[in-house]
Amino acid sequence: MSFWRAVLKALFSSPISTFGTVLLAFMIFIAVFGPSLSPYDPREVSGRPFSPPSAEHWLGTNDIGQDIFSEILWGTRVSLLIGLVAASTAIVFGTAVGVVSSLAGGWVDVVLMRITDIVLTIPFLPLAVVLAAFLGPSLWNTAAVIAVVIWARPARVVRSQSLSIRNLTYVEAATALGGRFNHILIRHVLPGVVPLALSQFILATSSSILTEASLSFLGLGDPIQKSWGTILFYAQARGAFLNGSWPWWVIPPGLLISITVLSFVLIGRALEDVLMPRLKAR
Amino acid sequence: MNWYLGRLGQYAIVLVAALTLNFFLPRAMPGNPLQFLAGEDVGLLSPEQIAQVQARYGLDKPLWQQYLRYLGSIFTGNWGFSYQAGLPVIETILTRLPWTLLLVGTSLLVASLFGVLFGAIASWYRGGSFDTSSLVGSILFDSLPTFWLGMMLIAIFAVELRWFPIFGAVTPWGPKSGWPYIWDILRHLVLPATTLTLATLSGTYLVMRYSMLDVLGQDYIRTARSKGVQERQVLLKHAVRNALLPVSTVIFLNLGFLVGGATVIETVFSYPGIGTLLFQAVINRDYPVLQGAFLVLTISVIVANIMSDATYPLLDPRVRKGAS
Amino acid sequence: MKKVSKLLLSLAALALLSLALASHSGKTLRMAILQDEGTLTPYTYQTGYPGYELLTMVYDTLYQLDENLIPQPWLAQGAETSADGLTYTITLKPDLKWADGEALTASDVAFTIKYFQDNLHGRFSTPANKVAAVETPDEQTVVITLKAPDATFIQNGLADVPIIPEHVWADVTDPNSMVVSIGSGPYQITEYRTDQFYRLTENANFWGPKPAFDEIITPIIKDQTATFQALQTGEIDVAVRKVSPELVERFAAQSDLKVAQGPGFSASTIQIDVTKGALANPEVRKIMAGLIDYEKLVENVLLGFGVTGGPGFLPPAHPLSNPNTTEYSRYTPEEAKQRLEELGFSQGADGVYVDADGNRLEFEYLTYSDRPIQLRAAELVAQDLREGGFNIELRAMERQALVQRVWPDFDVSKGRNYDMSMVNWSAPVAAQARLGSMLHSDFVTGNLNVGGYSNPKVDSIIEEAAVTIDAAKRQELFFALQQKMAEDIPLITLFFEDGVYAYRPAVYDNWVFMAGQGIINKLSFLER
Repeated sequence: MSFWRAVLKALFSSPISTFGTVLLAFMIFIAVFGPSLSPYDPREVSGRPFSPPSAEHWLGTNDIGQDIFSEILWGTRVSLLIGLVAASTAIVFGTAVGVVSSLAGGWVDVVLMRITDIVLTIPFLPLAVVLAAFLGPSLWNTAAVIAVVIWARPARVVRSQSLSIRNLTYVEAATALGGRFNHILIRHVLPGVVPLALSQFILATSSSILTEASLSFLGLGDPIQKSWGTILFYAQARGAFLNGSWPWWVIPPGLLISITVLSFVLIGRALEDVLMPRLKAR
Repeated sequence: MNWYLGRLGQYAIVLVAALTLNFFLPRAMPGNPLQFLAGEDVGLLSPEQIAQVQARYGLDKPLWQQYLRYLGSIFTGNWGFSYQAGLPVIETILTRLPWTLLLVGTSLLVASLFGVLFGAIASWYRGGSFDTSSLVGSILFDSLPTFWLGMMLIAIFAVELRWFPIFGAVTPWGPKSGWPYIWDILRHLVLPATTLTLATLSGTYLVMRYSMLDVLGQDYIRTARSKGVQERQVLLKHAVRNALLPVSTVIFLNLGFLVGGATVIETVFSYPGIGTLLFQAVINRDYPVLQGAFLVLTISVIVANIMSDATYPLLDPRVRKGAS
Repeated sequence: MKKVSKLLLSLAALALLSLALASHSGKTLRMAILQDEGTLTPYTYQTGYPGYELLTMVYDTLYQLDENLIPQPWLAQGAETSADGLTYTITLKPDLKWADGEALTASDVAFTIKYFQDNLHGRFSTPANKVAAVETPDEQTVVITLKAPDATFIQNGLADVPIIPEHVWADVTDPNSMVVSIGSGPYQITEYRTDQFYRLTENANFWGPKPAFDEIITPIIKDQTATFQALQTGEIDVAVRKVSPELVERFAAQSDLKVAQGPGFSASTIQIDVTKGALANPEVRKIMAGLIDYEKLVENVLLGFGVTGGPGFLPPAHPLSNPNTTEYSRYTPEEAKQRLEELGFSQGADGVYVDADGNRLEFEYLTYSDRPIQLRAAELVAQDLREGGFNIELRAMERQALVQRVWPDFDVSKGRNYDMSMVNWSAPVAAQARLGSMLHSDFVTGNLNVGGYSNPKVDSIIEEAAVTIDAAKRQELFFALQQKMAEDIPLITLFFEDGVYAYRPAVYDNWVFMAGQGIINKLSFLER
């Protein structure tokens, strides 16, 4: 319980982190209630194509007359969902690899860390491009691609944290006294690793959201889903920069991506500061 | 020395794994390069003719044979012909690589200079207005999607203000030598390099700032100050020099990643670098080019890693001891 | 009064100035192309459009299509066809030369045919393989004998296959790695930078009309936005890229740009696996075709710059298009549901109709992930079908991946694995009326029959039309064929996008709009 209290405290520990928390709360609010707040069904052709902003369409309409404002509200859910799914998959997997690697040691450690090295070394975006083309466009595949390319860094960080816990004298003593693996894991290692994993998760979410937008922009996302990235894909593909509609078609989704990423980064840093003073010391 | 050998061994394993992935992943993608081998009207070919095309490119052989041939070709330097352009892969890559290096090199240089400068100043005046504003600024820029940033720069500076060209690395019909040529290249470089610089600046800045704060808290700095050494001297001679160590690692790592990560920016600006080449090769299933470009990228990351590994222990004996 | 004369004066000055500018800069054209076209030889160019058009600037054909797609003699002075339709006696124009100064003779033509027979080419080997024998009684005469009569041989063969120089190609064993490109056409390649540009320069040895430019520079701009921004800011004079509907208005309003518009032949269709479950029932396909609001597609997706499709596939502008088959019979959602019930379907709990065997009208609908127009059209079509009791799962796929499902290895004999899919047929398919390829049940004749359609009556009409040389009789057969298509709905043709092109009239304003092909064609680059 005290852990969550510490997290809560971290969220409001400074003006900056409070700012981040409020921003994120706002984005989550939109993600949850956006669809019921949106003036139109974003798939419905509700106006003339390429209408500029008006009382009926606050941000105008897109290339086939769908309401951009509604698209963006719905897109919030998709973008956040992809970010969260990708990040949690990556963190769960990365944490598991990190902990197992550190506790098992020996050849398991060597093999797992070499694989981590490989993923870290292979150029990130090209790998994502090839993987996205390989799996084909769908929401879950996009999340999977992102997870595959981002799990390695948290795995490394968690491993070193977990190693340093294992090497603490009292944990070493417990091991020497024949403490069971599970016991040591649950009693000593996990409590030390979870805060780290949490802050890594927050940072991973922000990079997932950015990656989703980039992949969608390159045409490797799922254009059927209305995410912020695909809104930008269509804007670019259908000449938003040429017919002057970019101020209301390109800027808003871009800003929302930035705001969301910013809120995650601010919170992630605050969590790191509060939950892991030791990490900072090193 | 052992430590170096160990690292080299690791990189060798990584390289082999990357090479293998590099071969099988593209071939596992649905679809095949037939359309680019046989031309647009591939649909008019008879099955025998299609088989003939595949045989000509060795695509009819079992996968493991193709794999062995591919491994061999890496060392002979005969990377085959691009399916799309009909030119040797090496040649295709060599015409692209300089542009990517120029773009990445410039951005990295500028980002490193300013990152170090801002980081040093910010930490020196810790908590001051410059520290706060630069910190917030760097986080803000870090949160912008790079392609979006690039698009906005084009919209504002190329389309509305017309200060810079919109696409490419040179004006195709422009001057081909002397200062006008260099001027042309620079004009094309400004916007993409700015985008990439803004995207990488904050990383260097943050590491520099952290590392400076760390150094400034060390005993020898306090000693120096108490001995009455001038502040300027302390900053330049002791603090910055020592703080640069971790920054150099970050810069080297950035170099490796940027070469591949510039894909999006190259796409936005139609910049003829390795990134766009690779992206196009994926779409068109141009296996030889895909392999070649991927290989070059992987090697550049590994070289960057080796360089950072190699310099780090040289500069800081503690690491060498600890690691071996 | 004073004001008016002042205005007139300045107008005159302006006119003089623009004249001066035009005559000065009119000799170089900067034309943005879409992608690298390799070394631009017949074997290494990449795209049917604009690659082939660029190729024809460097290479000549025996015949050349005019703006109405009628073949006119080009390298040939004319051809005599034997009564049985098997032998073509072609006389070449006198004193033809290659760009390098060597003479172009009948033996080059014979060599070309032989070369395309021996060295597989996706486009040119097909007509070359129709040839049984070539003779060259003298330097200016070529006698071609076909294996079977072919009504389209001049149009698809003689007016399509570029003649290559024997003295350059005789020893080339791997044409796909050919780097030397020498032809007899109005321009020659003088500079090529991979992925950057080609420089085409006037060929002094060209036999025909004077080239309109000293020099044509073709920067490669892959990105649409960059292309048209460059056009707006004057960095280029024309783009081969079609202006997408959303930009037409903008360009038309810009005083220094002009827009050329005409019918396009590139077709957006829904191909259907007509062998699969409920989709095998032509009545079901008829209901599907009837539910789609074609006008809305053209209005909202193409913003009016296009023509609605019809069951006969060929667009109204095509000479062989049957006027009775240019529109689908339409159903409202209620009519469609009623019709489905008459056919023995019943509405399931979720509103989706099911037949007696439990087959749900539930289909996966594939579309290209990189083509926004087709994506948007598919979105709207899926909505129309859903309202009529169908359940459509829209799935965007990368182009190569989609092709692999619909048309594995581009070989219809390998079957297919899809329900319905957006398929774009490039302009030549409609322009050359390749209905036989699209519908014949035989894998060889029906090499574009990606839906697995099979109807013996249709097969026999196609076979008859292929050997019918008489124009009126041939048209009759094509009309009958399209009537059959309206009954069976082997595919659904959604629309044809108009060809819209933008250019700077101050630089050049003498473009030829070739029906269905647009302004980028060989004739546009020659003086008339």
